[in-house]
Amino acid sequence: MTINHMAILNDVTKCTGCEQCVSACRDYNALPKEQNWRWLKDPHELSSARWTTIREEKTARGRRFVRRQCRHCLEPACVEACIVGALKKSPSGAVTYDPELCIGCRYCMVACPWEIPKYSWEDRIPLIQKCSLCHDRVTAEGKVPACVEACPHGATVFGERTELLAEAHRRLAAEPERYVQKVWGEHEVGGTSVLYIADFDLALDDFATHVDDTTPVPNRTFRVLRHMPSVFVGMSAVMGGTYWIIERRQRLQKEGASTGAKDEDGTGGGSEA
Amino acid sequence: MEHWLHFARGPMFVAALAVLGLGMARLVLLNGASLAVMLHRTRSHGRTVAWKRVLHNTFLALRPFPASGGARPWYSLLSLVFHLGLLLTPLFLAAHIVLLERGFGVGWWALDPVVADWLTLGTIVSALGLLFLRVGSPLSRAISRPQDYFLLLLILTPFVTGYLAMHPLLNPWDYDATMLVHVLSGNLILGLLPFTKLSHVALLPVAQVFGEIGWHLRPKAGEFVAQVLGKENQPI
Amino acid sequence: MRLLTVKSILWFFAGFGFVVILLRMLHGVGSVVALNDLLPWGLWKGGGVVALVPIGGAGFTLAAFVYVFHWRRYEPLARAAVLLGLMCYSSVAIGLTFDIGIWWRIVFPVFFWQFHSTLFEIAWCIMLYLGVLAFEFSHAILERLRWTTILHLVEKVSIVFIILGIALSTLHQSSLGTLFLATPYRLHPLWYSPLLPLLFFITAIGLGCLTITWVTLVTHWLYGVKQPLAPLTGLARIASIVLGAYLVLRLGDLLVAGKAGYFFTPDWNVLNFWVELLLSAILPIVFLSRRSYRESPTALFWIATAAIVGMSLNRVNVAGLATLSATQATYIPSWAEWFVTLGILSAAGLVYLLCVEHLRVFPTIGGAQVEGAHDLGTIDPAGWHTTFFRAPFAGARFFSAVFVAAVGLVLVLLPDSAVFGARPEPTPTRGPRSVELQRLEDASADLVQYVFPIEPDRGLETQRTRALLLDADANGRYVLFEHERHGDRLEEQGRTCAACHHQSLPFAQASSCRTCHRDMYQPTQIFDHGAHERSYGGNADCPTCHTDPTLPKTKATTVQCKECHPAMVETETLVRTGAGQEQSTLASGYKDAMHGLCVTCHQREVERGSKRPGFGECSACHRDVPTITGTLQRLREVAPRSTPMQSEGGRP
Repeated sequence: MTINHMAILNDVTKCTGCEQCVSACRDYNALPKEQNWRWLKDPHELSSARWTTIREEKTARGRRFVRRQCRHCLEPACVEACIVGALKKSPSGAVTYDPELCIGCRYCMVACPWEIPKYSWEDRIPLIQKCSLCHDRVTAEGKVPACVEACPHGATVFGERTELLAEAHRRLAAEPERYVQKVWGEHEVGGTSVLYIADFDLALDDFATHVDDTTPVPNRTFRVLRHMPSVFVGMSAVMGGTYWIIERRQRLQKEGASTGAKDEDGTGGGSEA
Repeated sequence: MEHWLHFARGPMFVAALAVLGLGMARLVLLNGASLAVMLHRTRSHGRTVAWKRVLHNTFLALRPFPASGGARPWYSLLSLVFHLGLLLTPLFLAAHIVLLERGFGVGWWALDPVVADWLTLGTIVSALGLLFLRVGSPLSRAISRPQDYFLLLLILTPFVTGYLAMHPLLNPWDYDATMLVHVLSGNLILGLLPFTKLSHVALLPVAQVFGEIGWHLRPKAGEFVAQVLGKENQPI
Repeated sequence: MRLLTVKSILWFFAGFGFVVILLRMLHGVGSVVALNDLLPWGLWKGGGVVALVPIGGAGFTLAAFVYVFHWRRYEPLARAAVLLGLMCYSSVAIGLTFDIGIWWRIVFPVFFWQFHSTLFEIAWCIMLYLGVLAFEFSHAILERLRWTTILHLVEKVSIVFIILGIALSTLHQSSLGTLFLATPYRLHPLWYSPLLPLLFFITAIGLGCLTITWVTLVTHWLYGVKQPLAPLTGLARIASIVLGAYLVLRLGDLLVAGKAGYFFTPDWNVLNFWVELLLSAILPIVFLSRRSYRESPTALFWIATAAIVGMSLNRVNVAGLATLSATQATYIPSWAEWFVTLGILSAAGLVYLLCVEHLRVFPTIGGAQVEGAHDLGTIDPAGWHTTFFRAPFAGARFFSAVFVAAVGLVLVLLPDSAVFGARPEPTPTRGPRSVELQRLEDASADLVQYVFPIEPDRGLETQRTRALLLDADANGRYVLFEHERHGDRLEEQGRTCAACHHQSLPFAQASSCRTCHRDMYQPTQIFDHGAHERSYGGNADCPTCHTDPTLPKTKATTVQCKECHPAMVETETLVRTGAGQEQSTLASGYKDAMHGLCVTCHQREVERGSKRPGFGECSACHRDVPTITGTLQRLREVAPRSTPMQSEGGRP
């Protein structure tokens, strides 16, 4: 299997909510026992002990099950936010995490538009916990991610992102009355590596204002950040110039006063507000 | 009751230990600094401290029985028993050590329970005896402050309740209540240690130095004495 | 006396913060904070970093006014402003160290460079600016030490550092706003704006003028010295202009972005917005535009206080408070968080006062004023306070006692999780649900069955009924509760309704399921229902143990442990089974436990050579069973402390 920008396609219409993916993820990644910590709002949601979960949605067509996991954005906010580069977008498509570098500033959790990174608050040395798209398993062992392997209904499939996009659009075209004509993750925040097709209007995030625009989050900060070197030089130049001019004027005034010349300003003070 | 007991044995005990540790550190630092300042002042007044005498006095004060047999032999004996029990029982009681091992993971050699029982009884009896001596002697009564009585009774409390807790058949009260009083009074002793006269636990070695400097080497001390005695202009 | 009171309070809070920081280092950040995955930045980041940096903005503002613009009128405040900046930025650095998850990695940004990260830029700017501030303040220290040669050298190059400091401040003050450009979906629209960096920078200047005003007023009040009003009035004027510019920009931006519709919707976010704007900008602008208020120290103090509170609220809102409605998170800062923030600020305040007393920070406050403020008058030599207020080191005696008392008090006040580390809470059980079911009764087989989907005909008599579903194993998976059957069963056991109802529980509650079905709720030494369930793959495999789905899932109808764990059954057991009882399966585990409890001490006593006769013999405990003989050695052979639970049979 080539490992060239891999992705996951979730077909919500096929998911039965059996949670085999959740079990497989827990086993493969050796996640800790799920416990009822005081900071968890809902033990069934994503947490430091649960990298993927099934959320039940009540729709007009009945109960539907949506799997939540890291979206592995094409331009990840967390990677851009990380102060030490512990989070990286690998060529295989996965957003990976290096626990040896993480300082625990939690800016990735603030920046993520999907509220995916979770923190193991219970540990003395807490770390960010999130789906790694089974990066090692995929690249080193050449297998598909544990959750995909475990899915008994083919509701979640793994493959190259371009191919999966084509597959998604093929399914949408084949059964237009079954699906909403949209592939979630194709364009949101610049595109994600976890794609969804569904028969109802999905809300993949928890926010009141849903993530629907296509601006990658990193663009929003870098738009300002890239001007910082020029701001630094500019501010230094303006301040240096101001200092030099006023200093020179005052020196000249002082010299003028000492030689008995007429001091027009009189205050000797400069341009006070 | 169980909740309160848990609280007293848990966070409150930690708090008492923290106050004890920090308070003792505070005492040692403050007294060390004061000593340095006082020594400096003494030296600047051209006086020297008789270190030999200070050392001698310190050991004299530590001796349980004064050389002459003491003016109050009963007092000396009771005080010895009281201090022995006070130091050994809480530190080497098996039950305490089990609790410490469970909570902090450190433990040490424990007293035989029978010995601990006798030591506890000895402490209780000697404390009562000391109280009696303090109240009975007009001289002692005159120089006693409220804290002298309070601390003695406070120290008595955990010993009595501890003994009752270990001997349920003798205990007229509820076990949990007895235990709560035991733990609370114990915590209180730990917390008050650095702020009352109980601090002699740590300050015993320097007490005589302060006495020496404060009384014998105070600048112009001799003149004050002469003034008080009304012999101001006579040679000392 | 007022100075002593304030200092005591500062020492008290410093004690509080000291303890919580130690506990946080011991148990990890999660044990003391009330943060959660939905709100990962709280009081420490919002209040202790994002809000404190603009308060320290006084340093670069006054440095620019005095040294670059040559506005000599403000020179008396310049050094105090630099010291204020130094204290604020040191507090930020310390607060940040303990806020991040792995505090000793605070230095990592120095080694691992990440140019695209806003946080990286801020970290470097703050680090460098802290150096610049220390350099600028070194004048005061060198002056005091009378190291004139070095002082002259420092003064020669100082303008370079001052300009560097201003440029660095411009960068990080605005970048704190850039940080939150990454949160368009979390942050409420009234706060999210592409102008955040600019707004943050402008307010830092305005707030800088007012914080140094506040600090000057308070310090002079503490030492009982008349306030230098001339520079303060000027600063107030500048502040009102800068804040005016901020107000115009902020409201203009909101109007242009078409967010005016939010202004008067009844929502607590909107209320928060107006309170913030009123305190931080509108009130200060209105009052400071009047000369009489600008020249009154009292008015200046209250206006500056309002502005500092309001602007801190602004930063806290952007950093977290205004994200709560979008993320639906709940967050009330824990006491421990308040204690750390207050503690660090108090310690900074104490260092500030120390500098004011011993260095030339304010030209108006010197040795005489300091001594005057510390004068206690005459002290009654017999009073209690001689214990504390007694020379030498009267201050140290008293303040250290306050500190120690605070340490003790805070340990008592903090919750268990902060003192001893976080523990998981018991799994909550959800409330029962009443559902409609179909009851199938097979009289011949004496079988009653309930089914969810209404099946047409299975040759059985069917009947619609309502039944209670209970969250039995407390994980959200409901099982049927059959009241009738419970009644029958209890009656068979000779128990009455009182087994569940009318017990002496508060509000006459019925007893909960766990009173009888303990093993399902509490993982015990013997059986952990949750662990078995997980290893068999969730609810898919209940029939593995509960083989007959039609029967109630009780111990009697369930596969016995020994069928999967044959090693549990003791073949050579010394514990006799009662008459008519099968050889016990659970008893072996219980026996082990009891033996483990006693044998350990008995063994130790025997090894140490206990003088008690027969202490190491079985009969020491089993006195009434003459057949049990032998010594401890044999006991330990028969009952090793833990019987391995081999799953020889595997899954049936």
